[in-house]
Amino acid sequence: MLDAVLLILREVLEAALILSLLLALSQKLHLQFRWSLIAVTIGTIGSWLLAHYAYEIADAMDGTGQELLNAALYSVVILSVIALGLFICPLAFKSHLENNLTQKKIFASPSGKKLIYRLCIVIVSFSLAREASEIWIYLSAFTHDTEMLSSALIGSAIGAGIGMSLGASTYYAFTFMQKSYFIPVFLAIITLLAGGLSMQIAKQLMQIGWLDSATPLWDSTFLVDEHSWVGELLYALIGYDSRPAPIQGIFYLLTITPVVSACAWHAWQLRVKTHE
Amino acid sequence: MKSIRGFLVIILLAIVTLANFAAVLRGYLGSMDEAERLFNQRMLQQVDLLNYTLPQLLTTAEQRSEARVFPARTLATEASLEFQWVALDGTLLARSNAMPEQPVVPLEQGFQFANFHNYRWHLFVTPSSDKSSWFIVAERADQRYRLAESMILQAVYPMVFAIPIIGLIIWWIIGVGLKPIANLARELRQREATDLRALEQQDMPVELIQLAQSANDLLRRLDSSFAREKRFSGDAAHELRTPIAALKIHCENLLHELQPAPASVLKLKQGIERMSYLVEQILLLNRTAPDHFMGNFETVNLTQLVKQTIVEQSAALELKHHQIEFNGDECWVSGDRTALTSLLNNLLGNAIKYTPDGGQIAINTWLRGGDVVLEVMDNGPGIPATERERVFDRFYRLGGDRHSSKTTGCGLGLAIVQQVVELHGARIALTQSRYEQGLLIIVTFTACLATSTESKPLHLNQLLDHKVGDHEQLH
Repeated sequence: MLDAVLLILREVLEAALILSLLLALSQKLHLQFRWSLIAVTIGTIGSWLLAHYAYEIADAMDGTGQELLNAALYSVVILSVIALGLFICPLAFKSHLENNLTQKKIFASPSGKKLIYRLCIVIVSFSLAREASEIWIYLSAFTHDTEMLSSALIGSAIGAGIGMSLGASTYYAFTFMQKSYFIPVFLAIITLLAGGLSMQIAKQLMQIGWLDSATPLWDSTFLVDEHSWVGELLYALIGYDSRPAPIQGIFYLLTITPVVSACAWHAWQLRVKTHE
Repeated sequence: MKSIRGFLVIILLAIVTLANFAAVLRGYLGSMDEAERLFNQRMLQQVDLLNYTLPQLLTTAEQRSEARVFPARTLATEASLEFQWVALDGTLLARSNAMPEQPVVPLEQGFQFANFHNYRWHLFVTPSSDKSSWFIVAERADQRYRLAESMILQAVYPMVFAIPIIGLIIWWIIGVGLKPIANLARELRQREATDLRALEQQDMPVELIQLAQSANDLLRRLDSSFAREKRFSGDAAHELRTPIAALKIHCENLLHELQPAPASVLKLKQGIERMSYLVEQILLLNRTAPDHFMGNFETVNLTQLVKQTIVEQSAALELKHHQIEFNGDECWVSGDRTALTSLLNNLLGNAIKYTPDGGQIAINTWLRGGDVVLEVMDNGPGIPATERERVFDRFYRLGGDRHSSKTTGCGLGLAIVQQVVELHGARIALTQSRYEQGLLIIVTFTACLATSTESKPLHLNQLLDHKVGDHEQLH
């Protein structure tokens, strides 16, 4: 049961955090929530398909299909997160009045709103498809043993319950946050999240030998073990890895660079304006 | 936050779930440790049993060339304890059926793990009580785990299944808790627009009293501003009517004094008349506004009222050489006499105004089942279908200020008509006239029993049969 709790919690928590973050963003920007239904539906169907064709996928491309597909799913999510970050970034560096004007300008055209909806749908549905497919595969292993299945299901219910409760609490914590604080916090979290995901891409590519897995940069297992409860939580939040390879570090830096530099540029612009 | 109830249900359920499941996990881990202890105790008891029986057989066992094999248990079982009995030199003396033929671990006292026969096993290794031999008691790890977990899960299931039930209970309780808000909202929604009484604060929860007090302040301010507005319309009527009347007299005097009258004085007279008409219409619109309509509803003979209006407008009809026709049943409606008079004046006035000289106008009042249908029809220019909705807007005139008929007007007539129609719960429709061209306006009221206050009291049944067959023609 405990294994099921841990595995499901890890997957659900990551998806729930992404969903609640984006829902909170929609609430702050006065957007509709309907996209979330579409995203969850697409994600669930996608996850079932991924699980159903898991063997075919794993055997494809000389046995590297699973890793490559995971890397591709991660890449799409990362690119969408970066695009969203760059789109939202100007809102973090404006006074309240200017902020409203900027927001109006961004959303004045229907294409601005549409872009955000689409990015949100892609991020949530792709993340959910990958996470939930692992849950399907895990549970399908118990179908022949009813006793083990009921134990796994009860563990899954507990894991999902904890994950969703944390997601709901996060959502309300963000919605009660002032907008001026929320946007920078949102940017920081999604940047870290994208960085963490990029490390997973590197990991997948190292597993199939496309990238060289050299000596780890550090080993923080003694501090936080990746497979402990805290480790799982940190993994879900920022993609924590206790023994990252140098190439993973490079991927991380490359991913966070666009949003960080955009923020730096906007901050500099703001400074120039205030001096003028 | 879109819904207080949604927020409270979700956040409370999240807290309950987290607390409940944290307790479940803590309980699970603790119970698993306890179960482990219990199973280890069982192994120790097994050793006791072996101690009671086996050492006495040591001599015979050592004389045998091969280890004695005890048969497997015949009953089906979820978990079984196996054993090996080993001599001090390491030779196997006896074993249960499921154990290998060699000792599975080195002879070191204590609990250990070993893998054999495709399973992982819990082992307890201990010397016999007389230290003459060793016992290895073994139990399959998966069976032990399953047994322990199935025991503990019995306590976990209810806690997990309780969550949806708790969710429903929270949903229901919060609904009950928020009822005063729903009641307050309903009370405000059901109020008439003119009902500005303060909200009743008795039995109201403390959280809502603040809100009710603010609402009452607002209602009080609204009430006084409505009162001011009503006073204003009365004052404005008085203040504007008097100088306009004076202006009219001065203008008439001027016309008499200056012979021949200059064109500008004639235009001045027209302007004053127009202003006088506009003021009267604005006051009428104000008086018939639903927010402060102070009508006196009574049973009114609509047919009589129509005749009276035609008589009052006869001068205007004659001036434009219109032919007017009146047909209909005797109809009674419940309404405000003054408001109905202004409705008829406006409808007939419009027909007279906008129909070119020598036109045809028809007014009918029909009794149709429980309805009274008032028709005003002319052969004027009519109103295009696309404009028929907009003509009820205030100050809206067909074709703008430069109306094609060149007649004076202010665009308030039909707005007043619509207000009167709404006050009486009636319906109005604009359609094509039955003449070759023109407009037909149909107003449908609910029929009413006649009362003795009118000249010809009739009951509804009589009314239905009674056709007056009134037919008048005026020139």
